[in-house]
Amino acid sequence: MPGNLNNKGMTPPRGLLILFFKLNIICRNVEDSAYTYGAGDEKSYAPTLTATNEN
Amino acid sequence: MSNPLHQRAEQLLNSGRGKEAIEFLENHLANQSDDMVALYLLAYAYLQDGDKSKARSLSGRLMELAPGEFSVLALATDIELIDEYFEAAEDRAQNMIEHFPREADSYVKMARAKLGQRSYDRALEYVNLGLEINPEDLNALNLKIMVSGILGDKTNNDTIDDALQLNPENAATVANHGWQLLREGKVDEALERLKFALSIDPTNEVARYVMSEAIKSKFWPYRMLFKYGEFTSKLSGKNSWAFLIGAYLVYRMLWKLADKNEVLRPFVLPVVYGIMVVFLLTWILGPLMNLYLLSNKYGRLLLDKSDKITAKLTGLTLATALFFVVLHFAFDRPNVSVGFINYAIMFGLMSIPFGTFLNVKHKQNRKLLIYLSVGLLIFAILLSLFNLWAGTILVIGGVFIYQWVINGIMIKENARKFE
Repeated sequence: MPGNLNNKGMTPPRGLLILFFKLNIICRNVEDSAYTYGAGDEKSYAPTLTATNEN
Repeated sequence: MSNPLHQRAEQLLNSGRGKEAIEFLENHLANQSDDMVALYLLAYAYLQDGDKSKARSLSGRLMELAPGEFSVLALATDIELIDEYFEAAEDRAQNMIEHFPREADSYVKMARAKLGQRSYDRALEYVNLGLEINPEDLNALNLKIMVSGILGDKTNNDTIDDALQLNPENAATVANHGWQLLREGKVDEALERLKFALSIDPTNEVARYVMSEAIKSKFWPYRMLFKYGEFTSKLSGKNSWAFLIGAYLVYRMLWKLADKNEVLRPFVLPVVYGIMVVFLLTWILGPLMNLYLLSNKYGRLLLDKSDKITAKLTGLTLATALFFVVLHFAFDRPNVSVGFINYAIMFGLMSIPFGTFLNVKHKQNRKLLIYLSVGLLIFAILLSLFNLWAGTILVIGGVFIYQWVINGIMIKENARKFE
């Protein structure tokens, strides 16, 4: 019998890739964002969009 | 100033309450349908809730309303990434880089698109470009730690230190630190870090995944399998084939040598059996260790659905094989065998496909392997009712073909790329 390549382990599983988006979804780390709350270092997302809306 | 309504929606999203955010935002949009920020947040709320098609449709609408907005482009890229359309995500990210070359996130999204396509070297290049713009982007640092870890980059510990200095309690950073410690063979230290990561965020997928690997790695043979997996996932498609076929040819040649050369036989035969055991373990050790985790009340929480199914099936087929071995020794006599040993061989070998057929990612490939495995077992049992050895040989041949087929699929799905 041949061996099993078993190359799955290090390839990021689906969940891992999605996790990054969960972290990043609303978390663009924008220095001048008006939003300051949120978990850890993660702040807000869309200063330009916010500005557009306010204008 | 920021809108309190948007703040409220973002709070809901930050705390993972996607459904409530959807309800809240939909109510608001019923009165103010042109609120682009609310539309934007609603798209992410749908994503968090798993409704990708609604998120995509909102993203399309935002693209029409504000085609040049950075956030709108970023949202469109995220949707492609979450849907795992990595080539489309790459096109989107390229667009972001062209229009917003000074935004770190443009490069970080490109890095994710490259990571999704297993182009680890390119992913690292792009994440480094992002970090040049914003060295303190923690998500970018976490991504870099993951990619550097896969590539075995020796400077990874420095990046981990940087990220931990920025936030020592970021679950993703701590989990990635645990993963790095596991790569270095420091299983107990890794477990401590992973426990800490899970105490910060019990839903952290990296921490859960690496924790299951770390618990299994306490067992030395699994630690070797983990290291082997690290090595094979760094191979390109061509090199993966060369490695697999080369190892198989060496094994066959040694087998022949032991068969033909009586002088060398006592020395070569143990090596051949050793290789055979190692090859066998590459197939069944993973699911067997998952079976062990299943028997542990904390361990079972770390396994996903596919792992649980394949672990149980491997246990079931091996237990059936063992049962037939017992029957063989209890009832079979020379010249009056009723074939218990044949069924023992058949079920023993079937643990290979039943332990691995859910390892492949794509639905079509899974279907192919499930039909192949279940069909093989049913057909072999039916055949064995007429001719015992015909059924047994069918399983031996069928499993051999299965092994090459799944290896081919795994190479296609997981081999490293360089573009």
